[in-house]
Amino acid sequence: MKHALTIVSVALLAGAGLAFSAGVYALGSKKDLVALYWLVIGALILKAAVDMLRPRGAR
Amino acid sequence: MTEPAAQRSELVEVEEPASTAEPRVFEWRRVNMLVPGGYAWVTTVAYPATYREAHITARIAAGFALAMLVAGPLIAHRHQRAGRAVGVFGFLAFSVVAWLLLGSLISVDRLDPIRAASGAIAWALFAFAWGNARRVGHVPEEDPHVIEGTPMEPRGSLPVLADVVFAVGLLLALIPPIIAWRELRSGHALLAHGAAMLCAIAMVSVAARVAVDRSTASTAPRAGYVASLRPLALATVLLAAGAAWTMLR
Repeated sequence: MKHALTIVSVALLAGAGLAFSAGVYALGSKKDLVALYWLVIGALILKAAVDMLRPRGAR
Repeated sequence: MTEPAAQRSELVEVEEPASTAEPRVFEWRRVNMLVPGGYAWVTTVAYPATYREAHITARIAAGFALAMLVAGPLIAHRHQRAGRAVGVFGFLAFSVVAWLLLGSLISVDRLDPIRAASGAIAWALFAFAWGNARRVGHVPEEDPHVIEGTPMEPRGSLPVLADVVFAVGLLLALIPPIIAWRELRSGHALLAHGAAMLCAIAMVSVAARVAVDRSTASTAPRAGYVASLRPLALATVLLAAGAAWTMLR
């Protein structure tokens, strides 16, 4: 279970990186709304990656 | 007498008397504060204040900023806290006031990139100069607050592959700032670089936490799994909505 969580959290980290990259790329392509969309998705995935390894009771 | 203690006593014997060493150290510290601060002031505050269109109040604020920069180390010699307040916060406050009064004279399209970059480096060096670095010739073990005895060992070790996980995060964090250079619109380019830097900082912070916190995850894996469901569900909904919108177009 521990290793599975590690793999999932690293995969989420990679996913957030790709979403952020897509967001900044869209900004360069003059698609500001699409950029905002990808940046929000990246932030949510990054939050999930942190919460995944948070111990019980921690806020 | 133990061996480290013997070494320390030898170091005490060869060290200069405090009365002759202190003034020389202070002079160098003062130069360290003034040179980068002065360069930052000249390139980013004084130069735009010399424009013909600059208001007199902006020039006065720039002059006060310089006075604060010089007065800070002088006051810090006797009163360290007050000197730091004047030299750091006073200098920064009057520089900000000068920038606000200069207004459009320091807009992005009027900035010289080389001077702006060198000014930014000088501001960073100014921040470091006011830090408390170890003095030349000072032995930390001789501090009266030092804890004697054998060095304390860390209570835990990093999880396996922590460096690899952090390296992956670091490499991914580099991608957004590189992509940001595609943006050519001046205003949007600044936004793109700002957003990319925020993304990179967030990525590095989370990569460090993922790399280190894996050792604590084994105590309650289910708790973390449940906690991550809400942001993951939101991200999934957004992705599904985006996919649906793309197909319907």
